[in-house]
Amino acid sequence: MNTLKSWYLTKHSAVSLYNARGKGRTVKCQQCHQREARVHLTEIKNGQKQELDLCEECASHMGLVGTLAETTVPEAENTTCPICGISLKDFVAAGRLGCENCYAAFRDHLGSIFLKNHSASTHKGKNPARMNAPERTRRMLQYLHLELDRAVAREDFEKAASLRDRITELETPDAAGR
Amino acid sequence: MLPVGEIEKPPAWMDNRTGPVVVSTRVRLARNLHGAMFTTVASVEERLRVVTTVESAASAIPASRYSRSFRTDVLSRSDRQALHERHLVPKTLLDEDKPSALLLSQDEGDAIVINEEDHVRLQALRPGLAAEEAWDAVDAVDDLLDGSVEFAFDSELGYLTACPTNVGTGLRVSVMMHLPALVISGRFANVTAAVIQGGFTVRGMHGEGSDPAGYFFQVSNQRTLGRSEGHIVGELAELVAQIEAYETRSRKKLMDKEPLMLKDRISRCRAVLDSAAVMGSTEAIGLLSILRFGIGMGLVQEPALASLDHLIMLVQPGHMQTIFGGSLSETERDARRPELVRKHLAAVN
Repeated sequence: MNTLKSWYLTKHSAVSLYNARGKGRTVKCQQCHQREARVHLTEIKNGQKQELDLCEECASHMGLVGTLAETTVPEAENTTCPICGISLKDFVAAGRLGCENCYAAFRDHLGSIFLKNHSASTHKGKNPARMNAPERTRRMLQYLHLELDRAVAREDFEKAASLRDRITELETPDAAGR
Repeated sequence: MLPVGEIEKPPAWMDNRTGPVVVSTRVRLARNLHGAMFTTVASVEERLRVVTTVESAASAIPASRYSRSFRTDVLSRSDRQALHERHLVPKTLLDEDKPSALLLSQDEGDAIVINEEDHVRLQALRPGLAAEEAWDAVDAVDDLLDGSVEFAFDSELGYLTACPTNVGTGLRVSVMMHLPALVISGRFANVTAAVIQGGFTVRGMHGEGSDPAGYFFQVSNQRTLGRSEGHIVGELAELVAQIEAYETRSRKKLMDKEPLMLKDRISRCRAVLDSAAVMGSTEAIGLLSILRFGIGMGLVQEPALASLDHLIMLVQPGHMQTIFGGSLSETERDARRPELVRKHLAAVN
């Protein structure tokens, strides 16, 4: 089992950095066929998985090492989602989760992706109608206030007025209890 | 499949609101059904259940615009390719043989893609810069579907998607831009830098993994989490307006400084379009793109931009296959393309 030291992820490729594949065994770089491979590249092209072992020099020529994040994921690939059976290793290779529960199963590891990709970790958009009423109202108000600020900032007063009406409607005790 | 007669016609949503710089806007909203495996691991039976559930929820929408539906997994490869060229079938479904579907409005402006990377992708295509309008359209459909199906949602992370790069709002707004002056004058790198710095991306004509063809680029948001939909839509529209102004300034500069070079370039392109005997698809897009540039600059009068954009669609491989029937080889397509181009240009002139 290789120790995954750090990894970088795009939608269709994953790069892991490791010392050597397997115990007491070194792997030669598949590009220069000379130096010891330190980087393992997994790419999904047309649904086919392609793997490549590279030395740091060749990887850097391909623009890979410079993008490696400094995240430590010890023994990460052992984590498996109990609902769909996908392992973190599968996810790192393919870039796709198996079910909604994967978000809970891989929470620790996904956190860095959220920050890297979105520079955020909490949802601020719309919510489904099914959400329980008081929570939905609270979030809806938060959302409407944000939109109101934006409408005022760009001097779209027509939109601002309609947003203000919706806020007033939601804030009346009658509506909040609904 | 769309009948051949329809493939030959422009999609009705493409009208004269198309601009010389801002071509069109696409908004898509990713959703998954609560309790069902994502398509990554779903079995054929589960995928079929998703198709049935979403189709029946969509047909229950009062005055639904989705009048047509296709099972994309049983369409021929060239039909799928043609729909892909019309921005309706995503690249990932071109080779997918498991149950997937496309629900489509008569004008092709509104679509629901079922069982792509996510169970549901609501899409709206509009001419020119229409991010607000396109967002309002998918937002309304999302609300209506929400009444009959339950989407996978987490109160902290928002809508849960197969790829964590779409989590939160699941919203992707892409604007197709035509930026010849910025590329010719070597300023395009500035655009890329600004786009990436702002948390946006710029890609080729057909989105992810496609090559930039004929100076066409798609600018879209990268971040889907931590911002409201209105915020994402507004930020992207502002960025697009800035790039549009930059391209317009660059066009004016080129016209002031090198009018002869520009006129020569456009005349030469016209000459090749008029007399070439063999024309590849990339070459045709490149030539028509320069012609589009000439129209935008007022150096060429005809055809109208929307008609030219339609021709750019027609010269692509999937459309060629469908229009000429049977399976043409690449060499055969290249030999028939000039005739198609000239016929189209003569008809609109």
